[in-house]
Amino acid sequence: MSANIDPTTLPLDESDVALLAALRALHAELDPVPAGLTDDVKFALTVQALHAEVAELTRLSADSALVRSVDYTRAETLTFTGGAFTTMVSIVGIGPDEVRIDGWVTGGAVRIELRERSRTSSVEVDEDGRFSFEQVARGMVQFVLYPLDHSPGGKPVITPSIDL
Amino acid sequence: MHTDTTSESLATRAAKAFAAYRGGDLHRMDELVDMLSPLLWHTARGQGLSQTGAQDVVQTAWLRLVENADRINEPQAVMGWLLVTVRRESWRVVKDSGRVAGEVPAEIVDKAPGPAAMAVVSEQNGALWDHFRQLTPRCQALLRVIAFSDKPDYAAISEALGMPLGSIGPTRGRCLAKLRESLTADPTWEGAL
Repeated sequence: MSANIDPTTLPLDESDVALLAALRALHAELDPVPAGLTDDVKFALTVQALHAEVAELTRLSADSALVRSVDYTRAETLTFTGGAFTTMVSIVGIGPDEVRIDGWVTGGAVRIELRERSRTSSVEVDEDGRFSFEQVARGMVQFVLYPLDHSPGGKPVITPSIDL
Repeated sequence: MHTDTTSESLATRAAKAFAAYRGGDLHRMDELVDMLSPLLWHTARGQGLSQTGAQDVVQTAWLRLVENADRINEPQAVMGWLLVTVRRESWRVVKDSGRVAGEVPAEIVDKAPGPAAMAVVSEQNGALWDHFRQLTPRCQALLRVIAFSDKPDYAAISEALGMPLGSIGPTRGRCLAKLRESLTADPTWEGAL
């Protein structure tokens, strides 16, 4: 290797490329990135960015299956508790790829934000604390509650991700 | 010729997403997380961390990035910044556990795939794994990071592994040659060389 060649820009030959590809496949098979890692990171970043409190999933309907400890929940009715708020959410399939979400928040008036993979929408609860999202694509979502009465220390509350 | 110039490097794609994020397009952070987390994971694992340890370190690196986003002068530096953060955190964790920083502990390497995983691993990958882990820890860490870098950015890798920039090319060459030699000597190996 001559001294005037920058070793860091030496091209990999085809055989190197093939071997590195094999090593990549090897590690992807033997030591894969844990399935939930990127979702956990995104969740942590959102909590940090919002200075939010994290709600806990406190109840599932009887026929629900908890797939992972905190997130990834396939459920029809679930309840979250966090901060001053309790949120009950009911999910009804309205087609192969879509669901309707009806919910009820106790503890105060909030704007509730629905975070889907590629879009975010929000509604305010009505005077009884009810809200709904009528057409939601199946997939991972989470809710963020923003208190409306601007009480000091009224932090947003974020739920773990659920799998609709 | 070689493929490094046919499309943007991972570092450049990361820089674009990061620049957009800093410009106010906050959703681009998710894209950045998807893009770089595999590399960060394999970097942490290559430093000898357990699965849980590696997950914690990767998450910590992302939280630090958001806290320090304004202090990174060049978006192009974001991948290197994350890699350095993962390395430093990994070393801290390894040191706290009483091992020697920077060396991949043999017991971790041995444990990495686990007997259950090995049972379902293809024969070819099982053989490749056996040869790969005969390499020095330094070789293993370097090749692992390069394999996941996708048109490697050697400045970032240099920072990630604490290896002088000028020694990466030659070391890479030696490590690949060593692995190829070991595979060639294995009559059961039929894969790429």
